[in-house]
Amino acid sequence: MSTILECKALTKRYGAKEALGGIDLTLETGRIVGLLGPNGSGKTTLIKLACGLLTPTAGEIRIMGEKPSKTTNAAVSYLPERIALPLWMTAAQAMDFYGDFFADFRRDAAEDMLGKLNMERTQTIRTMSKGTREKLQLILTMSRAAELYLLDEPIGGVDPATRDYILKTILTNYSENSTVLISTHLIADVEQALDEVVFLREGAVMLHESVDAIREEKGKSVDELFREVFAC
Amino acid sequence: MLGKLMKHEFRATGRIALPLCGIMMALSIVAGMVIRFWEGLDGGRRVSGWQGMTGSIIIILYGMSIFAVAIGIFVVLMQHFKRNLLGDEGYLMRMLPASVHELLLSKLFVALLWYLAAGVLIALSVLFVALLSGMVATDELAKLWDMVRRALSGTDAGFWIAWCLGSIGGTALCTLLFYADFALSQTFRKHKVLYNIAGVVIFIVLLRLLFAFNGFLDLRVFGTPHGVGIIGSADGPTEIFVTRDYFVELLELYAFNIGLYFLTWAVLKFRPNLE
Repeated sequence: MSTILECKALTKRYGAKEALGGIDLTLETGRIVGLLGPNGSGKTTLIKLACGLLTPTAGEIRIMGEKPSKTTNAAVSYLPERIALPLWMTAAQAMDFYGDFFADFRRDAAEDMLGKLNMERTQTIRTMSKGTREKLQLILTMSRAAELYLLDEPIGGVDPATRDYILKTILTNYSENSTVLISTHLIADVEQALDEVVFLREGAVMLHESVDAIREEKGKSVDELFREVFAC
Repeated sequence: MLGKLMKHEFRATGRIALPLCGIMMALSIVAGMVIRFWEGLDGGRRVSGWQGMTGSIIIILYGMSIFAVAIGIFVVLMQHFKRNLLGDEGYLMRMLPASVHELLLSKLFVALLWYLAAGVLIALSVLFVALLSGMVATDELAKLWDMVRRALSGTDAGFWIAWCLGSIGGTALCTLLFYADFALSQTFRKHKVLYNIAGVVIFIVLLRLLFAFNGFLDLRVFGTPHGVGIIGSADGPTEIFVTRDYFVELLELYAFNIGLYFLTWAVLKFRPNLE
């Protein structure tokens, strides 16, 4: 295993508010990692910094040893928390777009998933329901054979059936050598899929542990531990 | 990568710009035929009420379509820039394996090509109206072309290079000014629209100061007409000029353009602010 993501004293401030306070974090390849924490704990900020969509106030973040750049973009598949696809595009045009720009895009995998969901290839994204848009965006993200998947709240705001579908899609479509970082606060739903978890609280890493270790050493599920740690 | 980005940029902007151009060209043909119909009526006969109203509406619509193409394409391009790089679509665009330079240049080049296409199509539509309506006969057009050809006969490569550089630089300035303004205003967390408007005002004041300085130079230092142009008659050009101060203005124009470009680039690169 090698390091795919590394943060050193990573700090991000929005004005006077500190979103991340000098965190150190290392993620290895081939792991499914849950980035867990309550709202406002810095999960999205950390993912955006990894994508280069934000710049650190201090410290550094590296993907495969490099600062976020167009080179790392080629290896990172990012699912934002909002719909980023141009609404005028059809599903087929969105696939063309991914195919044009990402060398690792697997068109056949995307077509297959669209077919299983009975999604119209000629329907414009604007006319799709919110849930369908989210599914399409996830399908496109997971149809890349990327080295690092950064999934920001992929199951937030969708019904339980869709949640199951999304998790199944993630688990069946990522390659074993790649790393998946899933940010969520719906722990019970993702727990079974995770190899390790990172607990974030007020911009600090409270815990970075393997799921097996939590179960064996603490005798608790991740969900139970989370409720205990973040009890109000 | 630049080619792919330009292809998608054309696709995204063309879905509105192309229909606008198509409507304008269609209306120019109809407007030309309406005018010809009016002209073809007997001298003593008046155009009937409905004929006059329909014809007038078509001609007014044609006039509005020119406006829509000229202004509409600019608005479409600016809105697309804002949504595509600074709005929600930015989460996808900024994750492409493309540098900020490639993203910016693809938009700038496509914008310049759209302005050129719009200019050519507007000129063509006016020509269609003139020819179809019979206002300009084909032989008169040939004479006009001959006059233009003779007027341009004395021009050299330097003249055309200077003219092209001035046209491209001027058009790019308008585009880059708004790019920089959008990029800067999005770095603020609140009142972005207010900063947007303030930014445009500040940039325009800076430009006016630059022009005022140039006017001072023309009057006090060079004492000559400035710019690039042709003074001529039907017999041919009497004077073709590219003045020395025009090159000074070109340098200033391109310095301003480069400044605006790198300002936009720096904001997108170091203060992406997709928060």
